[in-house]
Amino acid sequence: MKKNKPFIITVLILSIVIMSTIFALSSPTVENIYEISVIVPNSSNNMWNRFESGVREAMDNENVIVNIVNTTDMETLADQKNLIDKEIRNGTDGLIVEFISSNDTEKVVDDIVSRTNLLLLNTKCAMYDIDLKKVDTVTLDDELIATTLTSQLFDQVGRDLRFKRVGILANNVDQYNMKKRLNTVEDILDHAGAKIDWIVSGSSSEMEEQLKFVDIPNYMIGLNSVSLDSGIDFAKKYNIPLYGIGGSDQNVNALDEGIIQSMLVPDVFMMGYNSVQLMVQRIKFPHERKEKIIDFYTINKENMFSKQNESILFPIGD
Amino acid sequence: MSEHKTFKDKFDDTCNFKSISIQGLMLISFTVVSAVIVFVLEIIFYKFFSIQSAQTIIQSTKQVTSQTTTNLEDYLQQMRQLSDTLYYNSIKEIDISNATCETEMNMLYEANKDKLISFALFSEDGKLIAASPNADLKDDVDVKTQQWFLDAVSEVENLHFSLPHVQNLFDDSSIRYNWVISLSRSVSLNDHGKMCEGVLLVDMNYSYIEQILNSVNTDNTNFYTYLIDGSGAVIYHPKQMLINSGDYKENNMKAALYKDGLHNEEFEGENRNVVVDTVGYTGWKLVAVSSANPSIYENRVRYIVILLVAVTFLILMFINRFISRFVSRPLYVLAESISGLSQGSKKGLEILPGATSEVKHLGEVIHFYEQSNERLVHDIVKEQDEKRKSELDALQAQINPHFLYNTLDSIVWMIEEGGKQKDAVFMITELASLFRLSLSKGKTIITIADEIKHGKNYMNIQAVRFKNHFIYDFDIPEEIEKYCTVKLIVQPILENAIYYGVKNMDEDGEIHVKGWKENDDIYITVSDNGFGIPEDYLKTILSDTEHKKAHGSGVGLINVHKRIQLRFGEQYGISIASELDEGTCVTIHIPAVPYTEENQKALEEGTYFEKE
Repeated sequence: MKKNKPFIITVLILSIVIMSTIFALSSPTVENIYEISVIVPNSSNNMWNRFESGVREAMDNENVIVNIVNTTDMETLADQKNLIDKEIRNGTDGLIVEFISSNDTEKVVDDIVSRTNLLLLNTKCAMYDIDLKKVDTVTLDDELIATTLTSQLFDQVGRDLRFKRVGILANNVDQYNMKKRLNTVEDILDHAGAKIDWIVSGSSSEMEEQLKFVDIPNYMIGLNSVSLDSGIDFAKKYNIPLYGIGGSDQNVNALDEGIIQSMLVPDVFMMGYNSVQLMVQRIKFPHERKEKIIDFYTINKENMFSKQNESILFPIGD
Repeated sequence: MSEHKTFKDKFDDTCNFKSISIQGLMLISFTVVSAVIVFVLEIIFYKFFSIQSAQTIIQSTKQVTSQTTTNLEDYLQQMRQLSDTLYYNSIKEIDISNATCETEMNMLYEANKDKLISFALFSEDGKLIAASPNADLKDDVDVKTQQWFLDAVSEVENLHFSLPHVQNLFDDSSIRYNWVISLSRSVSLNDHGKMCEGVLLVDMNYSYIEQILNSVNTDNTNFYTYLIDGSGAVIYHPKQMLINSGDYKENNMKAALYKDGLHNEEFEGENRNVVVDTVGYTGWKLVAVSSANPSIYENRVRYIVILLVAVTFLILMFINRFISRFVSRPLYVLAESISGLSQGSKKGLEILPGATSEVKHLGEVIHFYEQSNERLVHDIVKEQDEKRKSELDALQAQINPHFLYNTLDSIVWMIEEGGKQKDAVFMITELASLFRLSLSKGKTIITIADEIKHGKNYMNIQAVRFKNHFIYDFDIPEEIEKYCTVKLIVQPILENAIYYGVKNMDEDGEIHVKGWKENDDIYITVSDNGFGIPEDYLKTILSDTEHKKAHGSGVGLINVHKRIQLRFGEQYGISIASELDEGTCVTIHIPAVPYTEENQKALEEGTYFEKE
């Protein structure tokens, strides 16, 4: 037995090498291709074009399939929940969701995380009492962007806004991010002495309808692309300086025409790219909650065609 | 207390190198050699495959790059031709103060609108002269501050290609903002008959170039391409947006310094092959990047090579083990049976039927020598037995009852006779000396002096007994007395000389003992003048073992002869010369071995002549 010992050891080692190699060869050369679904309000709005560009870029890099669900008919949270359920039934590996409303979403979030992977857009996850490991977020710093927005106003008109009236377009105040921006803007304007003349919210058509009945303010603020879109005609008609957060084609054109004085443009391309990237990481390697804060850029008519800003406003490949 | 072992001893013990078997040696050597050959061949194959694979990718990259460059050059040439056509065939032919080139512009635009965005002609102060398709310039646009304008007026001889940018010239109700590459040139304008300068702008559709390069990147997975200008600024990159946001890095600045052809670079921890091709006239460079690291496919090939090596090695080990076992087993069996034989096994030599001819021959030779050895041992044993028997016989002869009885009887008679006490004492003394020398403390090898004394004792006794019927003398030089001899060789010859020689003679018999040394031999003769020995008996006297002894000790000449030969060798012994009625002379021939303790012991043990 002692004489056979080296022979037996060598045979064992070779057998292990052979088994390991066969195992390595039998492993699939191509990783699993994951499927991710994106459910955001107004998915057909061109404001999501850049988001989609970022998503496509991430798809190529991460070798995943991303389905941006058509949400044209999605009006309520219940509608959104149905779409979510459908995607989960179809076997999606992960959901990227911007909730149409942040009210009463705790149960919905709890339900989703129990069944699949979830990433939230434009939502602070701290509002949800859920397991730390279960959800990532990709969002703007709403307080910061709102503060910067008001500072643009101050830069142009000064900080003393006493006796000045401001109208605010707030689109969907049921959303957390909109609420945050609105509250921040209101606080700052209040401190500056300005009077919030009116706040219109709702869908684009609803806001446009409401504008027919409002007084003409000194300044207007739109808190997202849809809000800005809705206020462009009104601002143009009455020559009201318009400030806002946006980036849709109409927003950009209005900026170019000088209707929008200053616009804060989130890097929506990177929002799309990072959200897919984070979701793939979560699917492969479940991790502690990660929050990605997206940059934004302050753009006006004078600098909108600078090298950096034109790539933000007009992503190549759009 | 355990023995302290060096590392080498422990290593040797572990590997048992000191006692490696033939099978083990064959197995190891065959396996190592075949494994090395297989391994080297597999490495060569893998390297060849890797090189071929890399070469194939590089060749493919070069071909695609070259074709793409050609496509880009074709496009750029078309745009240059459009610019030339518009300038030389239209703008130069008119006076802009009273004519317009917009018609030609529109026609050219319509014919090429998939490849370009717009034409525009500006005066040197930035005023729009003509444009197609849209001539509504934005109010707040100052073209003089735009890079394409600045390039055109700064170098009037050349056509200038800008980096990609968003067109910011015209009011577009469709809210379209187009990425363009501006081809600008300084032009001479005829305004009211006076020549002035202007700038002709052809805004090329960047999407067209993007599509060309996107299709290259989509169709090829082994590499990607990007386009830079002469300074390294990116014109097109598949990950343009990520580069802009800082999430992706490219080695474009260094690539701008590469000459056309293949380069190898290390970037962001990756080894890459880079093929560079310059796009004519523009100074742009098309860069194709492929990884120099093994692809997934190459990795699979590597695994396959490892698998082949391991499997081949395993198979070779088993085959080699079988062969080495087949060859070495007969040797092993033979070695085992030899070992058994050496330990006294009666089993005999075992040769396996399937053994090789060499092993069979070895076995047969060993068998032959084994049998020879057995015979030799048998002969030695027999010789030893004969020695012992002869010496025992000789010794027994000395205590022959007849001799003792007769001698004692003579002694009694002497004592009873009276007046012969001295003779009796003499007889007893001689007898005692005789027996003491006979025994010699058990030794077989004694000095010649003792042997002669023994003979003298005998003769003294016999002389008295035979009433001095014969005379005798001993002529032994002192020099030979200190040499070795076998005991009890002279006395039996003297006995024969008395009983067969002189005893029954009428006149006095004579017995002479003489000794001398001749070279390395010693000779002792016992000669008498007796009746002699008949010739026919003389011939057989030393070989006839059945001859009965008549008188005295009865040991006989044969015993003496044999004992001498057994002790000293066949070339020694006794020789007899005899003539009837004249006498007999018996010659003892022994080697001259000086009597020392060492020689005595060696002769007793039979090892004296071996060491010589």
